[in-house]
Amino acid sequence: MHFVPICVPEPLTDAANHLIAALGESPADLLTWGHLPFTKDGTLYGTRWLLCPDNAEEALAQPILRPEWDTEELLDMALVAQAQAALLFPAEDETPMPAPDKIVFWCGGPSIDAAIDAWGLELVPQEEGLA
Amino acid sequence: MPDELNTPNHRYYQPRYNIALAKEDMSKQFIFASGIRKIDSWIDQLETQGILNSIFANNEPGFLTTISPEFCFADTAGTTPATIGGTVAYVADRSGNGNHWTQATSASRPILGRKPVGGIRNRATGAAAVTNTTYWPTPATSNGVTRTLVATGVDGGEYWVEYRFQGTPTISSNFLGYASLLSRTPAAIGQTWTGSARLQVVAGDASSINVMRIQIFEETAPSTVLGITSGDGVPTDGTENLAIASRTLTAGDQVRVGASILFNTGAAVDVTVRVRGLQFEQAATRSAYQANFGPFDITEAGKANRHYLYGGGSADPRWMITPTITPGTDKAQVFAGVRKLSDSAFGAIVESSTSPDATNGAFSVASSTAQGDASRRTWATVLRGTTFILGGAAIYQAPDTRVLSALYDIEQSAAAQEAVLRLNGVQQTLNFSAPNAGTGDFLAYPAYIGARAGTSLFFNGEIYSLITRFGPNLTATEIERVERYIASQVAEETI
Repeated sequence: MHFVPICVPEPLTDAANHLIAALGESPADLLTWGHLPFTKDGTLYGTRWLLCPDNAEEALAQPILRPEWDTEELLDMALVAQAQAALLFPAEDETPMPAPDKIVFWCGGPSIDAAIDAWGLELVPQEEGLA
Repeated sequence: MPDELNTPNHRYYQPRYNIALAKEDMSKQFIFASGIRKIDSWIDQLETQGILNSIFANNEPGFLTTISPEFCFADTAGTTPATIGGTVAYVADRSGNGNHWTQATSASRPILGRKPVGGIRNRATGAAAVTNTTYWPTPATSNGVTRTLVATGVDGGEYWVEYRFQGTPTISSNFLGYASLLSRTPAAIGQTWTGSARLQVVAGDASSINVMRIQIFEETAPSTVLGITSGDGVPTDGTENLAIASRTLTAGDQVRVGASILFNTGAAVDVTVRVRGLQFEQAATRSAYQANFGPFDITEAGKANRHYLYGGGSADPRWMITPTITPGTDKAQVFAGVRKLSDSAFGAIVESSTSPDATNGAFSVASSTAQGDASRRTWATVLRGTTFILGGAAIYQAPDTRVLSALYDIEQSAAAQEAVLRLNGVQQTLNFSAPNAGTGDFLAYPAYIGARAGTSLFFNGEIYSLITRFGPNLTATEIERVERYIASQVAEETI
C-alpha cells in the first residue's frame, strides 16, 4: 500500500466519484470529489492523496463489476468505465500532468503538496476567512 | 530489553495530577513493551478520569477525544480498530455523552498518525519500511546493472536492506535503492540538511565498486536540481561505515536525500550492499535514529509515541462530524492540541453548525489566513450569538503546534470577554471584527471537525486531542489543568 496523488478535472468529477464508489464500501463514497479548490488553464480540479494497493494500476485496467453494496444500482457503470478510460498513469520518471479529459493517478508520486506544485495548480481564492 | 524505566523522558518520571508513580514503585516485570503500554494506558485513563470528574461532572454536553489506536476505528460502527497510517471512520467520545465522531466517505476519513515525543527529525519517508517496494523498489535496472532486494531486517534498532547488483555497467553511476523523490521536503535558504546511512559490502566482489555515497539534492520546486553534495569515501572492504553528507541551502526551496554507488565500468558486477539506518534531517550532524515507516508513522527508541488525526486541507480534505449536540447554555469551552501544516487557506479545527458565520448560537476555532496577507497567518476564534465576531491572534506561521483554548460567554457585552483565546496557556489580545457577538444561547448543531460543513475550509494539519464542553465557565485552575492534559497528548513541546 502507498499514498497516490490523484487529480480530477471538473468535467470528470461525476465519473471519478462513481469509479471510487465502485471500489469503495458505500454510497457515501460518491461524495469523494465535491470540492474543486484548484484551477489551471481555466479548468477546476479536485485532488486527493489516497492509500492504494501496490497493484492499483493493474487492477484499474481490469473491468470493474458493480460492488456488493450497490443493491439499489445507484452506480452508473458507464460512468465508471468512462473514468477508467480517462485514467492517466505516469510513464517512468515522468510527471503526469492534469488535463480536462484526464484523471491523473500518480503512482509512485510525491506528497500531495509536492504534487500540486508539480502540476502547477493554483488555489481558487476563497471568500471565507479573515476579511 | 533496555531498562526503559531509566529513560528520563518516559512518562513514569512525569507523574501528574497526584498519580504517584516512581521507579521504586514499579516491579521489573513491567519492563517490557506490553507492560509499558498497559501502564501508559492506565495513566491515561486516570488522567482522563480526572478531567471528566472536573469538567463533565454534571453531564455537561460536549465531547472529549484523545487520538490513539485505542479510541479510533476503521469503520463507522466503531468495531474495527484503526491502524497507524490508515484511515479513521470513528473516534470514540470519552466524555460519556456519546458524541462520537464519524465519517462515512472513505476518502474523507482522517489518517491516524504516530510520531515520537519531540517531533519528527528523520525526513527520509519510508526508509524504515524496508519491505515496501514503493520506498525500496525492486527489481530495477539502470545503466546495465540490475538491482534486486535480497534481504531486509533491523539491527541495533536501525532498519536495513540488502541489494544485490548484477550486470555490466554502461555508466558507472547507479542507485543504492531508496526512492529518493519521496524524501523531498520543503526547506529554506540558510538551512543545513544532513543525510546519513551505514553502508557495507556484505557479499561479492567489492573491487568492482569505485565508491558508495550519500547525497543531498538542493532543488527548487517542483523538481529542478540546483546542486548536489555527496558524502564520499566509504571503504568497500567489508566493514560497515557511516556515510554522511551535509549541505547548506544557498538558493533552493526543497531538499531530498539519495544514496548511490559508482562502479568501475567495463567489467561484470556481482556484489551485495547493505544500507542501514538511513536518516535525513535538518541538522549539521546525524542525530539519534528515528524509524520512518511512512509519512504518518515515525518512531524513536526511548521516546513515547503520540497519535494524531491528519487532514490535508483543500488538497486532501479529511474531516468528521458528531451527532447533534444540544447545549442549553450561552457558555462553552473548547480545548485543542493541534499542529497546522499550512497557511495557504483558512482551516476549521472544530465548528458548531454548518456556518458559524451565519447561523446564530455557534462557534468556530480555526487556523486562519487571508490569502496573500502574511500578517494574518495565525489562530482564530469565531463566535456568533446573534452577531458574527471573528478574532485573530498575532502571527503564528505554519508549521506551528499549539494548545488552543477558546472560552465563550455570550452573556458578556464586549467581544474581548465573550470570546477568549489562549495559546499554550497564554491569553491572546485579539483583533475582533465587531464589538460584540449579540445575545442568546448556543443552539443545537452537530460539530464539524476539520472542515466547515464538510464542504470547505478544510484544516491542513494534525489534531491530537479535542474537548468541547457546553457549561458554566471554568476556573483558572480548571482551565490550566485541562491545558496541561491536552499538552500531554501532543508530540511537540507546547506547555
